[in-house]
Amino acid sequence: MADMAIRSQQLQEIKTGGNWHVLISDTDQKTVSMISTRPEVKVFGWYGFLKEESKYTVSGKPVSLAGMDKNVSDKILPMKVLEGSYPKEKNEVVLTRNAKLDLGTHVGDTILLEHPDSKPVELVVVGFIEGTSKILKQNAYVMLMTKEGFEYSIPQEEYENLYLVQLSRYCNMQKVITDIKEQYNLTDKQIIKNGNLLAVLGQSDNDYILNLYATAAVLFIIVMAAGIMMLASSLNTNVMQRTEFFGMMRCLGATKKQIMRFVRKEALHWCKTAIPIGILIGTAAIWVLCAVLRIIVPGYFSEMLIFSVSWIGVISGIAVGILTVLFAVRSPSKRAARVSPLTAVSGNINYTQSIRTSAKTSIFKIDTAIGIHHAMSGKKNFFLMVGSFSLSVVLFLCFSVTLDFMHHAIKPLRPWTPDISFISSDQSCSLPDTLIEKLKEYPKVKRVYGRMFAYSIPVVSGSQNKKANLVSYEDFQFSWAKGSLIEGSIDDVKKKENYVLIVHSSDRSLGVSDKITLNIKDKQKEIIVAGLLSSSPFDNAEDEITVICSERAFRELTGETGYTIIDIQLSAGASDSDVDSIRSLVGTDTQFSYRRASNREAKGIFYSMALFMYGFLVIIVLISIFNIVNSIAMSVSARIKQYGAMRAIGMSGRQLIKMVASEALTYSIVGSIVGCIIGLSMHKDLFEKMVTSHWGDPWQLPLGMLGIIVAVVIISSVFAVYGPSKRIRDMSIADTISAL
Amino acid sequence: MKEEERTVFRRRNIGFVFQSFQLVPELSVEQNIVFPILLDYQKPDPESVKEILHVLGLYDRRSHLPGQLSGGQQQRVAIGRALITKPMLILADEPTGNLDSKNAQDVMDLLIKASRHYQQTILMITHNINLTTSVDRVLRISDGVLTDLGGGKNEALS
Repeated sequence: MADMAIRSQQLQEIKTGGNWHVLISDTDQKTVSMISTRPEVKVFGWYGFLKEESKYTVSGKPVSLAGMDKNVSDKILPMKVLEGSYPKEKNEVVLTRNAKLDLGTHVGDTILLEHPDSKPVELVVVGFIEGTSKILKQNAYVMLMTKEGFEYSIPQEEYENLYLVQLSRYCNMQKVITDIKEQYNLTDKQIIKNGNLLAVLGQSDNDYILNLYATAAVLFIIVMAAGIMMLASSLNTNVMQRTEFFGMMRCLGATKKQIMRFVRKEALHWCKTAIPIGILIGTAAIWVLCAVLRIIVPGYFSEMLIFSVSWIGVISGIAVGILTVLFAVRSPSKRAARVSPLTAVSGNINYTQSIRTSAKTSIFKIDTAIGIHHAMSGKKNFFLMVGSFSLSVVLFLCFSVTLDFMHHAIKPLRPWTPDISFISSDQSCSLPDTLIEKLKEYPKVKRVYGRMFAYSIPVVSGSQNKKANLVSYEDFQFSWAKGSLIEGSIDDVKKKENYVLIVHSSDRSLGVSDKITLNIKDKQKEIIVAGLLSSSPFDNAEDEITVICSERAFRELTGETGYTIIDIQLSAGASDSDVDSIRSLVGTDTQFSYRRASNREAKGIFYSMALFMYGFLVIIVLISIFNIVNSIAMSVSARIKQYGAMRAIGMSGRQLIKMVASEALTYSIVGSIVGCIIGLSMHKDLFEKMVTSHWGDPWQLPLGMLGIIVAVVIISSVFAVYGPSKRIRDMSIADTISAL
Repeated sequence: MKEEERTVFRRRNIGFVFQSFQLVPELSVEQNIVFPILLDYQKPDPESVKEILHVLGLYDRRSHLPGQLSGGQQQRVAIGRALITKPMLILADEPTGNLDSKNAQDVMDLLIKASRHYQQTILMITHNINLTTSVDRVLRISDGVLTDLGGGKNEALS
């Protein structure tokens, strides 16, 4: 899954930033030619772009114009053409999609590229391309031309050019880049690496990939340790069920080392079937997960490979399988070697645990009393069993904190996330309030809400002077804010004009009922803090606070009536043409932010993180279930002859199940209690470090997660009884008696 | 009969004495003896239990665990367990096989005394020909052939 995520990230990086590894600028043609002939250089191309201060416009609007040669347009910066085709001639140009409405152009139209100091250049629009989410969010538009067209249309002093280099995947890219730098005496400004792409190719010292693999390695070790425990338990069960056989081998003359080698080879022999099955099931599971990601977030995971095979995953799986078996088999093989030759006659390893007290038959029924006594009589065994059950609870609770962290950290997936936003060009309250009513009437608009902003207002709180950003909320936004309310009340803020909400800050300087004085337009206005929020959608400078009030309060405090930003959430079926129509409703004299693409990306990150974390919790649960089932089976195997004798004497099948179930439930209940005590204290500690310290949310008992894992432990224990009980019930009484 | 019914029948009407005693290590002497009654979820009659403990000579050891008893004592507990429900039939599989001669004799005396006292049939398997002298009837299986060797001096009582 990590391999698929990285491959998907690579494709996503190439899609958004281009498939180049290093760019070279400010150097002579000779150096460039020599670099292009290096064997590690796979693709080399020219790219030119207008200087930042250039004054080129189209229909009065500034444009970003770039030119590239065929290598770049085909292999390094391939852009998806949505309509028309890529330019071939000098006077042809493609535009990003958002330009279509803004400039009102279509394929085949002629546009004029204008400059105050030169003649306009006529260009023919031959197509429209998909822009990146960054471009769309920033409401910028890009025009692309061929190299020849760019050089022909733009004077050299108006543009910069550079060379994009794509290196071979199989070379050490860092080394090659360093070589090029040294050989041609290039500075860091002349040769720039594509850090993001190099990182996801594993060719960078960037933290992202190192952290990802480091995290995967740590998790791999933890899961492997749990797997070793579980396998050792299974192998122990297997050995316990064949004590007579091992006793017979010892009787016949096999040494302890030979027995150990026998058990080890037997376990490795099972790997021949188990590992391929594990690889196949694992690969199929990953295919399903990748398909799920593609279906849930098609925009972001469109590059996710569904039917691909991760060779890293396969080789790791094989290595893990073999290593796990080798580690797990050590204890059972030693146990098998310790079996006395006398066991060939008696059949069971003598139950050598010394029993000090009798079962409490006066308190419980005989079957329950014996079951509980079986669980608690051997201190070491009881400690190990309870330890392994409680480990499941502890691991589950500790890892569940990552879910809380994830839900806090990924902001854009909040209920208030808009699909499109209209923003006042000068960040003032210039959007008329009548616009909201107009937008509400559009059929594909699900929700419209606005905010008014007043920035950097001087505030006095006690003896402290600070700056505050005053923001207005309406009903939707107040209802969404309830989820992050730490203290106080939102209702007071909605109803009373001088009550406000404050967003939690790390210095915790303000609390509920504190009074602060705003200095707005040279007038002092006192307001009272009615509530404290753990977070808000807005980021502040360190020394600024966010003050949230009602729209009525904002108007009263500032005198403004318009909005700074109007957010729109679209219905599910809304298309890009609906977006264009809404834009034309508002007009083009406001800033427009198209957030659907970036929302898709955020959703993609969220879902891939969620899949990973929930997937990991599922693995913990599965390991717990297997461990519990094996532990109970092992315990029953150790006493199989005793159970057979009890059956002969007159213990019914149902009583036997009750006895085994009492033993299993003793382990699981005590294990759950111990696990809850340790797990909850660790959960609290982790939660306070990861969430409370950053967002202020106080720790609360994780009842949901606790309920899930305790239920899993107890239900697994109950179901674990049935297998061994069936085995005991199916034993023939006559055979049992004759064996006794 | 269904399996459960057969189990209950076995519990109430047949007593078992095994060569290797097969006591429940987690139960005391008294609990092991009344084990079949506890399986019926009944409370044992204290007087009957006391009587059996005295007959077995284990009254002073009633709270001890099997691990704290000698072989002979354990086998006596097993006999007590077989007798407690006053079954019609007791099946004894080499009851003296793991005992020395003195304990073996004690166990045989107990079994015969019990059979007379409780009017029970005891079917005992043994390889020890010496033990056949004190029983009512002997059947021999040799090479798959069953032979009735007749009764002993007390045949009239059987």
